[in-house]
Amino acid sequence: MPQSPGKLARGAVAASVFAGLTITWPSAPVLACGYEDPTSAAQGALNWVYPDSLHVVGAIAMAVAARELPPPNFNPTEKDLFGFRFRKTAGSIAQLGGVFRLASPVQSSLSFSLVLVEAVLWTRFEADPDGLHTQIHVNGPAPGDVVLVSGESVIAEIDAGRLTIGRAFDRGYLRLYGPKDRVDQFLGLYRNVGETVITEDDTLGSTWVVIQPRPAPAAPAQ
Amino acid sequence: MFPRMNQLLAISLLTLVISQPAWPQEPGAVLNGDIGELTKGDVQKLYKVPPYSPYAERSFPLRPLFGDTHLHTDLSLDAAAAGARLGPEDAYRFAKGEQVISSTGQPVKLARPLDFLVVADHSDGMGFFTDLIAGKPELLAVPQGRKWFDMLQAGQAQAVTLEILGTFSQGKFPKELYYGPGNPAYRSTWERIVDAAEKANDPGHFTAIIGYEWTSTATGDNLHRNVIFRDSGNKALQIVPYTTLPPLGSTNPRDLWKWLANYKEKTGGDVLAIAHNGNLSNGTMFPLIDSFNGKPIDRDYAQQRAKWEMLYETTQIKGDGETHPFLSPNDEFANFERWDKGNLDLSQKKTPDMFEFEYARSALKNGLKLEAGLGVNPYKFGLIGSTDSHTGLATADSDNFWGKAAIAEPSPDRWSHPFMTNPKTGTTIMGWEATASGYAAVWAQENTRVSIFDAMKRRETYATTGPRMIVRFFGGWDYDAKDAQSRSPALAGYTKGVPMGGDLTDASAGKSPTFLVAALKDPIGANLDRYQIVKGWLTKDGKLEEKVYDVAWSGDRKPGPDGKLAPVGNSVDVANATWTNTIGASELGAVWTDPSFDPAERAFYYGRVIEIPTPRWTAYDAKYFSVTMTPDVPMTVTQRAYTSPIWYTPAH
Repeated sequence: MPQSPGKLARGAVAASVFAGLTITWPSAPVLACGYEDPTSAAQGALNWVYPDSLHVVGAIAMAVAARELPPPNFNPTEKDLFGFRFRKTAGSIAQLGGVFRLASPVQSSLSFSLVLVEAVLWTRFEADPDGLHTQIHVNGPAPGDVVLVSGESVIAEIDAGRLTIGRAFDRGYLRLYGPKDRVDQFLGLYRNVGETVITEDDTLGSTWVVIQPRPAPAAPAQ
Repeated sequence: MFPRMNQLLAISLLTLVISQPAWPQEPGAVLNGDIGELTKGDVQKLYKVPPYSPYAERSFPLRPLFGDTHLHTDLSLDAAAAGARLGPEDAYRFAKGEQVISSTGQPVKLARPLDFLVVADHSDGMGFFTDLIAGKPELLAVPQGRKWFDMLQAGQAQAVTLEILGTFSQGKFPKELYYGPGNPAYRSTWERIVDAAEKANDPGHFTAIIGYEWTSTATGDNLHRNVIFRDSGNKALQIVPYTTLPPLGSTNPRDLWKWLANYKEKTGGDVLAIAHNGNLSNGTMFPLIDSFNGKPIDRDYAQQRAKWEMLYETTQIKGDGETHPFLSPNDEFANFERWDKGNLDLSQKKTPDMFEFEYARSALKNGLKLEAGLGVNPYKFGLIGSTDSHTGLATADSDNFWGKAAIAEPSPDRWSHPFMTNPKTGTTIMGWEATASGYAAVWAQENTRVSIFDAMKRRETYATTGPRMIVRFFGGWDYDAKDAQSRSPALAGYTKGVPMGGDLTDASAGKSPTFLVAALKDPIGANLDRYQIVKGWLTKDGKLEEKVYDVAWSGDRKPGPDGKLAPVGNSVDVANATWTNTIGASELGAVWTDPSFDPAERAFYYGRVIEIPTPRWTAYDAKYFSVTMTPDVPMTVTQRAYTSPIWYTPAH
C-alpha cells in the first residue's frame, strides 16, 4: 500500500534532522553494541546523560599522542571476522571483573556499571551476598549504580597492570557518575585496582589464578 | 565603488541637465540657467583632480571578511544527539578567537579570529534534544517525554533515538513534544539564538549574523538552505524559523521562498537563502525538471530562485561542489574532495545522469540556457564556502580540524570509523573522507550586518576551502597589463569594470572582455600555484561549453603542447605533516583577454586560485597520534578559492 504524502513528509523530516549529521541506524540486534556499526547517537547522548562523559575521548586521545596510552585496541583496517573485536574486549572486561571481585569486600553492596565509549558497550558489576558478578553486554546501568565511563585501551592497561583505576580517574581517562558518597565509596574500594596482575599458571597440572604485584618498571640503562 | 563626486559638481550637472539640452562646444562657453552663468572652467574647478592619496575618496571594499555562514551548536537536534555540548554563546566566543573546551574535553582555539559567523541550527526540532535531556518539566509532563527521559537516564539513548524517528515517521510524535512553530518552547529556543547573536555582535570588529538552516531532505535528497537575515533581533524575533513539517512547514523550496517574501513584507527587513551540498541531492539541487511536480522549471521558479538565492555554498565538510571529473574530464583539478556515492542518507546510490544537476559549474552553465529560454537565470549565484560543522567550532583549517560532529573530534581512530553507512545500499562514507572546508570571503565595506549582507546580495564573495588568501576578480573591456602591476588592482578594477558577482554587457564591436585578476597568499599559509579563469558559455546552436584557462602562475613554467601547465611540484613532508614555501608564489596577478569571445553568446567567468600542495588533515592526525593510515587515505590537499562569476549577457 503506498504511503500517504503526510507519512512520507513526516518520514522525510524525521530522517532529515538526523541525516543532516548522517547518523547510522544499525539494525535492532546491535542496539546495545557498536562493533558492527558506529552508534553515534548513543555515544552522543552519553555526553548529556553523564555530563561531559565524552571528555574521556579527549583525555584518551591526548594520552595516546603523549604515548601514555597505547593506540586503539584493534586494527581498524582489518575486517572484524566473527566478532573478534567484541570477544577481545569482552575478555578484557571479564578479567577486570575478576580483579574487582577479588578486591571487593565480602559484604559490599556497591554495584556499578561500566560503559566503554567506543562502542557504548555496557557491563554491570552487581554486588550480591556471593560477591561481585560481571554481566557483559547489558542494556544499561541499573538504578542506583555508580557509572564508570572509559575506553577500551584504558581497561586493557588496567588489566595489564600498567594503570590503576585511581590513576585513570585522576587523569580523566575514566569518569565516575553517581551520588558523591557512592562514588567516594567506589574509589575507596577500587582505586588501586591495576596494581596487581592476574595471570593463570597451569604448571602444576591444573590452572591456578596467580595474583602478583605489578612488575616494577625496568631500570633505565646506565 | 566609483569615486565620490563633488556634491556641487553633481548639483551643477543636474541643474544643467534640467535647464539645458547640451553643453556648448566652444571653449569658455557659458551656460545660462536657473543658477546663473556657469562656464566650463567653473565646472572644471569644482571637479577635483584625483587626490594624491589614491585611496582617499574611495568607498570600495579594502579587505575581504572571512567567516562561516553554516555552523551548528547543541541546539541542533542532530548535533546534540551526537554529543555537542557547545551552544551559540560558546560558538561566538570561539569564532572571536577565544580558547574553549570542546565537547570531548580538548582545548581548541582558532589560529586567527573570524570576522563573522552565522549560527545556523536546524529549524526542525531546534532545542528539543537539550530540553529533553535536561528534563524540562513541560516535556516530562507528557507521558512519551517522560518515558524517553527515563530511557536516556538508563543508558538507552540509541533506543530512544530510534523511537523518536519511528514515532515521527508514523505520525505518532506527540504534538506537545514537537518543537516547531506554535510551540512556546520553540520560540524560546529561537529567542536564545537571537539573543546570543545580539550579544556577540560587535559592529566594526565582529559580526554575528542571525540565521538558521531549513532542512529539506525529501526522500533522502539534500535540498537544505541556510537562511541569513540582514536584520537584528527586533525584526528576526517577529518570526520563528520555517520548518519542513506540514502543514506549517514544507520541504519544497518554492514554499521557503514564499516564507522569505512574507518575512520581508511583514518586517520590512531583508533575508536570503543559501543552498549547499548539491552533491548529496541526487540530481535535485539544480533541476531542469522540478522534482516536486515533475514539470520543467518555469519562469516563476526561475524568478523566485534568482531573487532569493544569489549565493551557493560550494564547499564544506561533506565534500566539494565546484565540479566533478565526470562533468569536467579535461579539468585536472576537478577530482577534489568528492562525496559522490549517493544522496544525503545514502538511501539511493548516485548515477552519472545526476551529476549535471548537482555541481556549481554545470548549474551555472544550465542557468545560461534557462535564461535564454525563460528570460531569467535561476542559477545566477555567487560562491561561498562554509563548514557545516556540528561541533560549535567554526574551523576549516587542516591543522585544526575538529570534524563534523563531537564524536568525530580528534582521536586516533576517527579517520577509520565510518562517517555514514547504509546497509540497504551497501554504501559507506569513511571518516577520513570528511573535508576540512570551508569559509566564506566577503568583500564588504564594513564589518557590519548590513554591509556583509549587501555584499552577499551583490555576490561580491568568494569561497575558500579554508586558507584566507585574498582574491580579486574584475571584468571589463579596457583593462591592460599596467592595471595588474598596481599595488591596489582594485583602483583600476572598480573604475574600469565590475567586481566578482557583476555583469558585463554591451560589448563594443571588435572588443573582447578583459579580466583583471590578483591573488595574495594567506599570510600564514601556503604559496600559490596558479590563478585560473573558468569560462562557461552557451553557443549559438544551444550547446553548453566550458574551458579552464591558466592566466597567472608561479615560476617560469610554460604551457605544453596540450595547453596544460606542468604541476607546480610538491614540498609536503607527509610523515611530519609539514611543507615549505620553496615552490609557488606569494602573489599572482594578470590581465587576461578572452581569446574566443563571441558577443552573441551568453557566458560566465569565475576565478579559481590553487595553492601548492599542503598536508591534509589526515596527515596531521597521523603525525599527532602516530597512526599509520591505509593507502587509500589521501595525505595531501591542494587548497583553493572560487570567486563568484561575472556574467556576460549579449545586448538585445
